[in-house]
Amino acid sequence: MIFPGNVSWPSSAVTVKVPAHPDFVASIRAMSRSMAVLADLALEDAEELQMAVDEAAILLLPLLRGADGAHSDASTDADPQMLTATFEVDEGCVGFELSAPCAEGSAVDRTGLPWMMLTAIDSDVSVRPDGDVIAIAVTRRREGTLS
Amino acid sequence: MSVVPLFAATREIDATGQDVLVITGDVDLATAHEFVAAADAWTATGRSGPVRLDLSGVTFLDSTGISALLEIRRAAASVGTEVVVVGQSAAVDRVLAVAGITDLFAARQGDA
Repeated sequence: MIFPGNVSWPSSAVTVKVPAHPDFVASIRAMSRSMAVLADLALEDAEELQMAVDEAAILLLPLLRGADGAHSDASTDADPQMLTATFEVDEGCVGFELSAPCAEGSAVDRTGLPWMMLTAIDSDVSVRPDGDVIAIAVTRRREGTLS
Repeated sequence: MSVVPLFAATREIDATGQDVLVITGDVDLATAHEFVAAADAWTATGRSGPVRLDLSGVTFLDSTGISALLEIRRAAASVGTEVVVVGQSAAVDRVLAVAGITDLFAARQGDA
């Protein structure tokens, strides 16, 4: 069946979960490329969105519960072994959020190269703790697209 | 089972007859350690001259890849040599520009 091109999207949000392991970050990156195409982003914007995916993962993976081998009695229902990536796609804009349940008291390192890269890509990058889940969110807009 | 991005580090002889470590694919948090290991293997041979890297086949580089480059540079310096990048892809150019370290690994085309 071929769908007509003028059928509107039932939703513009896409969520994927992958095992919390470096090997699977590339699959989120691949998804970000698809989202950039849907949003009609420029190639440069799509490349920077992919960078943002990696930098967010680099910041979150060391914070995961059990990343240091320690056991945690965290109360969240979120799967400690999974990274959750959510994309919100609009014309000329992709919002991306990566989240994971993290060890109690952990915080995103805002002093190193990954954070510097992330803030170079999006100066409004946000870090949102929700219980023991930490989410890092960035938005990539096509140049000339209003926020 | 492991899902590993396409990555390869191969030692080749280039058109000038010199050894070069050719890196292809994604250099990211899953593969950066392989990049460092390949460069370590180069320096471990005790050969003279710089560590020559061809990054023109690199399709993606993140901050772990940049850290790997810096680590390789430090290791080379510790044995009295240097790293020479003889070619780099647009993907590498872009990431180094975002990181603000373009000059640090500027490709030395004259060495290609």
